[in-house]
Amino acid sequence: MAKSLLFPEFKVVRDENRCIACQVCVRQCANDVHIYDEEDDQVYSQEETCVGCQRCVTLCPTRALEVTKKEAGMRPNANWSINHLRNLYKQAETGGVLLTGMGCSEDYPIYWDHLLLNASQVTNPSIDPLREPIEIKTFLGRKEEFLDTDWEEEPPVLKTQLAPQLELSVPIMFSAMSYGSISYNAFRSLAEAAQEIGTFCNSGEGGLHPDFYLFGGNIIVQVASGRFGVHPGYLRAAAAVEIKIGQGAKPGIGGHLPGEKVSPDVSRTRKIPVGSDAISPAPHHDIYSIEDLERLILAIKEATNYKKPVSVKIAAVHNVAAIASGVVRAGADIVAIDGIRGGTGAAPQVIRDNVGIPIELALAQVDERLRREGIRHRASLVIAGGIRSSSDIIKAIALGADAVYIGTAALVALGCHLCQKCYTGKCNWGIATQDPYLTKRLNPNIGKRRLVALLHAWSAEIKEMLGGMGVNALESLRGNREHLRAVGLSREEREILGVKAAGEGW
Amino acid sequence: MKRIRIHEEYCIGCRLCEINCLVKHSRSGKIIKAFRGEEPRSLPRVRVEEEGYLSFALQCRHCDDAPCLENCPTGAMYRDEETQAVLCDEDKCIGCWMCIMSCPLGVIQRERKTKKVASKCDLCRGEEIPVCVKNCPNEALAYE
Amino acid sequence: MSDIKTRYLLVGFSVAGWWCARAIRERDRNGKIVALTKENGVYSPPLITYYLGNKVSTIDYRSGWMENLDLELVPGGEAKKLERENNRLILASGESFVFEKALIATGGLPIVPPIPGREVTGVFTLTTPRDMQEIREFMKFQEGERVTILGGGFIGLKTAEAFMELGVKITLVELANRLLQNMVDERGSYYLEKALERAGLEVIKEDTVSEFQSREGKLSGALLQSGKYLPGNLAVVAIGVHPNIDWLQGSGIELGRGVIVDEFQESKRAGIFAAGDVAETKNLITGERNVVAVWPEAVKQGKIAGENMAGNRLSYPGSLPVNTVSVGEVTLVSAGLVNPPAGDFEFLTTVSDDSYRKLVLKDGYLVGVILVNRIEKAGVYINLIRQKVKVESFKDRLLKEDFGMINLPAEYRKHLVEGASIEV
Repeated sequence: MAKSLLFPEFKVVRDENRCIACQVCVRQCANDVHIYDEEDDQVYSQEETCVGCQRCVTLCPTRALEVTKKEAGMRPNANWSINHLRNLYKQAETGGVLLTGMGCSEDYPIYWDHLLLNASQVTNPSIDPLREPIEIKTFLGRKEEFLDTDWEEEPPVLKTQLAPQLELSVPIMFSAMSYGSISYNAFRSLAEAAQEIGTFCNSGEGGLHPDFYLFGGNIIVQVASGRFGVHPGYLRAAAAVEIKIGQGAKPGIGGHLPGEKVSPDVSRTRKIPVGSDAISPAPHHDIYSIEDLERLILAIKEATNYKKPVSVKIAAVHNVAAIASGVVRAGADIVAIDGIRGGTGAAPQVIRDNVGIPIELALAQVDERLRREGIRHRASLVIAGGIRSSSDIIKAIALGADAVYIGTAALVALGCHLCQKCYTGKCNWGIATQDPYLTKRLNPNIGKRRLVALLHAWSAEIKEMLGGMGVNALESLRGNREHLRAVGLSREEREILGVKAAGEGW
Repeated sequence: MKRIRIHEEYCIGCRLCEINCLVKHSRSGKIIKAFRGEEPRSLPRVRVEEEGYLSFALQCRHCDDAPCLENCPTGAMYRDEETQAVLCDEDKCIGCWMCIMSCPLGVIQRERKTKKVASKCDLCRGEEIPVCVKNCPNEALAYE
Repeated sequence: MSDIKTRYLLVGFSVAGWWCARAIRERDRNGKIVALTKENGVYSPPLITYYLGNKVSTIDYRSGWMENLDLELVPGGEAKKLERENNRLILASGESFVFEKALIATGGLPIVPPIPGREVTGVFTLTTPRDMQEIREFMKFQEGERVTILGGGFIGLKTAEAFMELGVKITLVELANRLLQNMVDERGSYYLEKALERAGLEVIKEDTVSEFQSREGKLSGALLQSGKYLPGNLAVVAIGVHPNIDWLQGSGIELGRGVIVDEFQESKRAGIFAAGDVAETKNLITGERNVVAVWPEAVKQGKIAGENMAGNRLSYPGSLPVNTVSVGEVTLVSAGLVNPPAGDFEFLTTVSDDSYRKLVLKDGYLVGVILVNRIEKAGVYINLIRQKVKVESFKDRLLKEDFGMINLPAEYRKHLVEGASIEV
């Protein structure tokens, strides 16, 4: 058999002075990296299969383990990077499309890190969030152009019928991650946390497990090209419905849940046979135009008695502003835009790392375009794709977003170490797997607690930043790009972002 | 009384409870020494049982009508007034194994070397939270 | 002498008596309890052999709860007669007690068959502290180079275990073809015999003592039925015990091998209960009446008698012979029906150099178990027998290397594990 030219990505360093051969690492590694030799009463490691998930390192009771990036011994070459070589070897051996998980990990500019926030000094007092209320509650849905009020009545009566809204106690929601791509316990953690906090999680395109109907008031359900698990009860159970057109990690292509992850429970939820691959087509085969999209939006509104906002999720691509304008005109109440760093459970690596545009630029352009066309109020803007911190969120709001979706950040809170192997179904952290031996590792009570803690922490930070700017409601910051300044960006980038350079005054 | 509750659906079979229990009941109380320096190695008083995907850590339940206590011919097994834990006074124990024979859960161990002293969960005498509970990374054990 | 009046009278104060007293006290804080014991004080019978073998420094049962029973203990109080018409009991000393409720817990007396020469100095039994003291005294003045133990049952082995610690040469004589006739089968006995041999002890099976020979009134040796002669000046007759019931003749209490009781541990005379080695109860498995003289059953019977004497109405599910023995490096546990009669029984066994496990099943239920070494899960098996848990569905796992609670049906397991209290 031809020798594989692949080389280990990680190095497992075991401090023999500390190792007590307790075998915790052996039991915790789903990739069989650690092996116990009973005769020698010693644990050995074979690093070929190590994915660098750090599970063993975290659980080792004596801290005897260290897993580090293995330096490949080849002569450094700026053009032929180690990653390129590895992919070449792999494809020469397999002849296949390389899969990966999570979001784009290439070194493209991250605009959040080039945007700085303003603060109050002397002429406009800042606000102390511990002493004064700061409102970060957010409503998602179509806003009215005029409010017709009958002032003759006592008290006055609002005559305009308001469009259905989602009420968020924080401007943060959990992105679409299907039960199937993530485990029952992971989904449960998200749903329980969303309920506790007063926000929403998203079912993804995997249908809704019967246990989660209980959390329907805090779940946005997705209707995607595969239509998995979609039925009237599913739409009725949810707080809102999202039509998924695209995903930041894989714009233009469909979804693929490997059969390994289609457990009996997942099969019931998706209404597909156990062990069969769940393939979502690249396009919706009933949507080839904005008009087709409008028909689906209307059909969903009809099916839900016009009681629920309908969201449309698209990936940030070159013409995103025009597309978003069409989506709003098609009747979407919420437009969700997923940038190039958006995560996935499985995508071709070449797509993930090369297709789409950064969300910051897409957001600025979409907000700008909708305003210019006078239709910004007709839909809320939710952005997704690589939101890492409360400062990313507040910058997004200032750039024009109504709220953000977080996916990767939520999974990291649950224990994800970004090994990017979600597609293998062997997640050692019990998140992106359906293996009952692994799913137990995520206790949803702990998961919920950690997610709630994260959102509490970010809320507090958002309030601190708002207070510093002298703004007492998030609503007042929304789309106010005067609160942002750019550093280290070209004039063109600043223009696209609509942000002045740091140092420029009003 | 406070008892250790088992949530088997979250037991990940890592056996950190066993490891920490062993260390707690070792002579040095230090993990590396307890494993590599102490001969004989002390015994964990909690045991993880596994079958297929199911696993759980089991230790003495400190039963209200503890049969091990009732059947101990020396009075070595006793109930601690303060914590209500069923403890074994190792000085009185004669290694007759009546307790092992009586325990419906099979959670009493014979000490490897001395073959005299029954080793069983003592709720980590004096600890606010037993070490198996404290060190369970997935909260599959709770002390409540 | 005038009568001493009491609400509760415990005739005999050993295991069954203690737990009876405790059960009474849990229901009746104030009712007067008088406990009679023919010994000098309270002691734990199993410790006698351990004490002889210098493995313990006291035979006292040292547990805190005993101190809080608030009862009147009458040491040296040997019962002589129970009046037929009245609730009056008369002691050998002449003292008399009038009671409302009584527990008969007078235990057992050693069986000594009519072997010629059994009365000579040097032939002992070993069931009481007095026996033990006598043997100790005797050994001080004799070169106890050789001891013959008659009986390879539980008491015989316990006796052998004690002498092994004293460094004397021991010969164990057993009439049957195996040791622990009631507790193990031949294979189980094999491990024991090997362990005994390794410890330097001689085992003679299918033989018995036909005569204790003496010189000047002192034992000189034991002549066996086979003609074999075992020289030595110390012999212990350890064949077994029989219930101590002779004093109850004429009391109106129905006697069989022991005091016959119903499921409430009550004898034919209302208000008079019996428990422990003196009581004849129904066997949990066979339903036959017999005397099961083991500690755990004495505790259970004592507790139930106590509860019922104090006004409750609990019933005893039936007796289960259970016991454990350690000799040398071999530890053995036996419970239930291990040598069943011919019939529809299923046997599961595993055999290795140093361990043996045998399970006896009937109609899908576990009815008996023998474990030689690796006894840690003994209680799990025994509880399956006691609780009459159907094991048919998981019997293939019963003898797995790592058998444990996890192999049991989830409901039963959770009842045991999650339940705050365990009823066994």
